[in-house]
Amino acid sequence: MFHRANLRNNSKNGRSQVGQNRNSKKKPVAKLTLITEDNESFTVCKKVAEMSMFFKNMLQDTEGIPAPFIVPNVSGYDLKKIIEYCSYHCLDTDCPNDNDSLRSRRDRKIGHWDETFVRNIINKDGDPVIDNLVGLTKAAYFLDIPGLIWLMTKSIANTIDPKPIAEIREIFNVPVPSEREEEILQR
Amino acid sequence: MPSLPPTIASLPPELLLPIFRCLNDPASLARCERVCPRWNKLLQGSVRDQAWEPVIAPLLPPQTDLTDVPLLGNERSLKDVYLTRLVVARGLVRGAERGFQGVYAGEATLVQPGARLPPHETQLVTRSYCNPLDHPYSNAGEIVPAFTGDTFLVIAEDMDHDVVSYAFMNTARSPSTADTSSCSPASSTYNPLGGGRWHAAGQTVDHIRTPWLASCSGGLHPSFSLWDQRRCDQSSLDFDIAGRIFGPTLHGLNLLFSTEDAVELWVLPAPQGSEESDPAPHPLPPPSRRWIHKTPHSFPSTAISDTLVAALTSDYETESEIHILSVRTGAHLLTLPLSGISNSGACALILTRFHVLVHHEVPRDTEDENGSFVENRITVFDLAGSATRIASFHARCGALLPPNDIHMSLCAGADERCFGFFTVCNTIVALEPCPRGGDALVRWWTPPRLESRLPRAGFYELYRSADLHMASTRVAWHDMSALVALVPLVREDGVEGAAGFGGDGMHAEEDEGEGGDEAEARSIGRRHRDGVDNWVWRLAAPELRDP
Repeated sequence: MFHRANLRNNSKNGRSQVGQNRNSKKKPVAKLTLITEDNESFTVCKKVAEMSMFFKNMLQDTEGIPAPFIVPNVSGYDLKKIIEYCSYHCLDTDCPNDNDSLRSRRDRKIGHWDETFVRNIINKDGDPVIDNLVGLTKAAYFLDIPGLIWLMTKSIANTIDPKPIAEIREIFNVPVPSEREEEILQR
Repeated sequence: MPSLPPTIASLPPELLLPIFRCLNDPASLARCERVCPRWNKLLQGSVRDQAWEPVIAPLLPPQTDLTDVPLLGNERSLKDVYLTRLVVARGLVRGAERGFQGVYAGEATLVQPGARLPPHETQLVTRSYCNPLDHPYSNAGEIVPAFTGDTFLVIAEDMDHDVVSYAFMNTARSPSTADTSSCSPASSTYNPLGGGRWHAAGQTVDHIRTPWLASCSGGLHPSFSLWDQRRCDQSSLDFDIAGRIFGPTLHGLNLLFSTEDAVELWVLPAPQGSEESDPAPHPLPPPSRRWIHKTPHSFPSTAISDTLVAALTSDYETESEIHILSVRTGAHLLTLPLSGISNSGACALILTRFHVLVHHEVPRDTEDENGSFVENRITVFDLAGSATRIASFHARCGALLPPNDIHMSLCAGADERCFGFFTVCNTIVALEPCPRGGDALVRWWTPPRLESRLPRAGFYELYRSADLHMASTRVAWHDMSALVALVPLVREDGVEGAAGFGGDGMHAEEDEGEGGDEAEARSIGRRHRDGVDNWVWRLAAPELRDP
């Protein structure tokens, strides 16, 4: 149900039509070509790209569609997921944004589609892992997509929420503090 | 559970804090505090206070009623007070004021926006360094949190008379009385050192909680005396460029002095062990003194970070330069050229890990609409990459600003963000924080398209009032918010909101030309109206992006 906007993945891993705007034949849609740090190429329509403040400002700076744009610090996998998210949400008007209060960020519930989206974030072996969540969070932060940043941080928070300290350390790969540090932390 | 890369544990605060804020259960937050020292430090006084309290609301819409929120209790008998520093630590706002009669420091509890900061007890820290009105040029009132959040250090200087006073003020607070500060009253001790040229006034700290302070009980740490005595052997300090203190860094408490011919860095090493684990008093190692750099030119401004010192040299005639030096070794690393600053020498530096940001005045060929022949510029250098100038733009203010107004109103934000506030006539201008470091800074601040990027980039007005003029602005960062303290300016006849110094760009010159010390003292002093307090506003970062 995320086929809301134009997206074509030209990556070497496969060519997938994730969505086609049915009106594209009637009215040409401005598109943007993105190349990730691992050299995967994506073509995405402007509307989707502008979910990212990074791309939005870049487009404004260049006054139009630039040549293929290299996106540093973002892997092909992350960008694919980001495009998937933006394609679904680009028409939404109630996405979390920077102006939301702390309380509303905390209390906001993850929607059904977003829940599925997060559940499908997998690693190369097909296992859901938190480092992919973190990687996507970093990418979303780099590209400045407030809604996705919220979704990722909320999802990580939900992972942490019920866990005991030892398990949180394990999840985040935090070394066990020394006895001295532990004493201080206990206080 | 799969083995995860260690980078996950070291997520930057910008990402960790939102995660913590999304925790549904306060108990989870408490557990996170105990995961590791880094998380503990991050959560102390930042997320915890706010995540479960009433929502932080925008504080500064244009229609905000400027109800006075006192930061420092306004001593009604004290005239010509100048707010010199604003510090936020552990939920407390601390500030220092200086005036003709001494240095005053105080604190207030950080409260939710819209609420009044509760009045606090103004504590006289020291007033022994000068006689009222005799030495109006004191460049005093630096204040920093020392090694603990409960202690801060105030240094007062009167360069005219080569007197330095300093004092530790402890505001140890009982957890159960969070709104009660307990500063020890001043007990100024006249303690001439170094042949009478340097004088030190210290005080005993009542609430000794740290080994470092314990070593200071009964007066000043002996190492300070040594330090002072050695200092007095050096060449005299330039009047305009007194020493500055910088808060604790990786190396200890840094004291940076710029003299006429050199920059000196003194480091008071941190005590061994942590305060919690080693309550026993023990002697503090003597401060180490590092010659940072010698130059025939003066240093109008300096800045320091954990690793770098930035010092601006200028002969006011030719090219100026910014020298980047290593804190650890004192080695000279870089020289950044800065063309033509005005002969007023008004400039300010921000130093972050990636950038040097300079606010300076540049002479104009023609007079602007305000009658000023200088313009304020902000120049940004990239340190991480090419070490070149990456942006330079007009600060959109034509008025001739006194050096102090520019000098003190910039601050480096937390998390290596760049941020700056300054007052332009009756307007507060802010530089937008750079959310992701250098890339965003370059992209958004690239001239000449700067102004078209507003409000996403550059600087813009936060508040403008035709009736109120700010004499000084101080900014501190707290949990992704800017805390702005404002000191209203009133004319000498007591009419609030008069043009005053900086109002039209010409009064400053007129005042200074009126005659002698008294006129200049008036300019420096910024007359206050009795009963007008300083104000503190809290600006949430998102609000800044969409004023």
